[in-house]
Amino acid sequence: MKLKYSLIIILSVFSIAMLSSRIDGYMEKYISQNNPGGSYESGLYRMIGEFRDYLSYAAFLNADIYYHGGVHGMKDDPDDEDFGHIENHFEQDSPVKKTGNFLIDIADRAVITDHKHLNPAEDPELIPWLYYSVRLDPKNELAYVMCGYWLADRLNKSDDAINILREGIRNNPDSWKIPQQLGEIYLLKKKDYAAAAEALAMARDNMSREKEPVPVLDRKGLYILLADAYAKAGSPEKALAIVEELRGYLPDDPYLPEKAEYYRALIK
Amino acid sequence: MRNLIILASIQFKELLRKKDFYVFLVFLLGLLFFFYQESFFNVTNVSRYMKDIGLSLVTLFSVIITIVFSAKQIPAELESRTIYPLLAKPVSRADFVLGKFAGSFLISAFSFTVFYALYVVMVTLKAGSISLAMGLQAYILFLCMYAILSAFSILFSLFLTLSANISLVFLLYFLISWYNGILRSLCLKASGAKAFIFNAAYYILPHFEFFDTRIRIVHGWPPIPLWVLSSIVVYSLIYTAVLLWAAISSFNKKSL
Repeated sequence: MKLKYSLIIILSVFSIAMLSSRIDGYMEKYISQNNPGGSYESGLYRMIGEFRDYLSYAAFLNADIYYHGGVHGMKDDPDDEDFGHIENHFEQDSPVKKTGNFLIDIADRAVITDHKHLNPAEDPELIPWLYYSVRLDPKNELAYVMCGYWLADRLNKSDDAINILREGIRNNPDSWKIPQQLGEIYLLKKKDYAAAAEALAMARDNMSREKEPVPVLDRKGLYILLADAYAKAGSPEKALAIVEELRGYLPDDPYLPEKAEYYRALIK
Repeated sequence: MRNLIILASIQFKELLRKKDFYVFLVFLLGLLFFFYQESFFNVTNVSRYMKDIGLSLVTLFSVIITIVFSAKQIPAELESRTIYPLLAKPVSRADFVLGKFAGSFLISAFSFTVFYALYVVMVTLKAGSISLAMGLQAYILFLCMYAILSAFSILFSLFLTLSANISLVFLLYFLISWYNGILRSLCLKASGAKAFIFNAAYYILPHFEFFDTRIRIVHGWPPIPLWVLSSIVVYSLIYTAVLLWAAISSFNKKSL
């Protein structure tokens, strides 16, 4: 009897967890439409606390697993565009070789040990896990960034990407990665240069408040985008100021003087 | 044989009489329906998450039913003392253990078949279809796994209390399913006496990972080669037979 009740309780909690992601989605939508400055804390988050963070991380990892045909990605992919190819998951011991242990030979043929990349037509398959990842942990910056990237760049759904990234900014006001992704979508996809400049400037402000040192290439990526947005929005003098600021961080970069010269020419 | 059929059919009726199976069925239906109607940013052609979560739920619910029902069979007979009139009839102890196993396996197979059929229908409605070859392979392999789990639960029920038995079999199932790769690496990397010990452990421990075809079904991998499938089926038959032989030997020595 006790076992039966335990099972019913476990299954009920599981069902509530599943429904919670849907309720949270509606609440976030309501807040974004009616109270843009407000924030919402999920009921489930309050109930199971930090365990949700682990579930969110697991969902995020699952997105990576889906990208690699159901197995963990072995390493960074050298050629991201090489879709559909199959790579051996074990570096040292090929699963097709005989190992001397009959059961291991069977396992290597029964269990998937290779990885393959999603074909572009299968790109939507990742979205549920990125969605669950942000719903389970609204503080998961990387999940918001990846969700925005995947929606805008891979599925051509820029408006949905903008909505989810705006939600991410509301939940992570100190993040620079989320507004950078938002700015990139405005700049490259929507061609709304003023909105792009606004989002990227927010990213720069947040980056300047970072306590940990920011990798110089990350800074360069953001500043170049911001300068570009300013220039396209009709403010080349601001673009020049950004490039000059970046030269302070990268004095030996051969690309920056050229870029500064270009913006000077635009000002004239 | 007649004794086995009678014992198994009594157990099967118990499944239909108790509510556990129906609770799982309703939950599965509810959860599958929930995932069926989920929409993510109005993106179309999204179905793998449902195949994945659905099959995980089917597997988990069937594993729970298999372990719990199998573990309860012999202790329940001992506790209610119904075993004494049963063994007084022309039913040998071996028949009794085999009958209990047959009944438990029948329960597992029936539950899994119903859950799996529901899963296939819901996934077909959402995603179009499931590869017939892969679907059949998965069905056969999962049944083989439930036979081993059932035999383990029957064997351990002769030595352990009900809760200890259920916990131990669950632990064995999850640990081996999750961490079999570590033992594989140890077998391949070790040398000398260590290699012998690790390889012996690899042969002795059950390999539930053989039966888990979820990645193949969800991510569209090709079916397992026929000779590998046959080897796994033979492996599961041998493993189950050894466990049942151990259970019968122990039960024969047990004073009631």
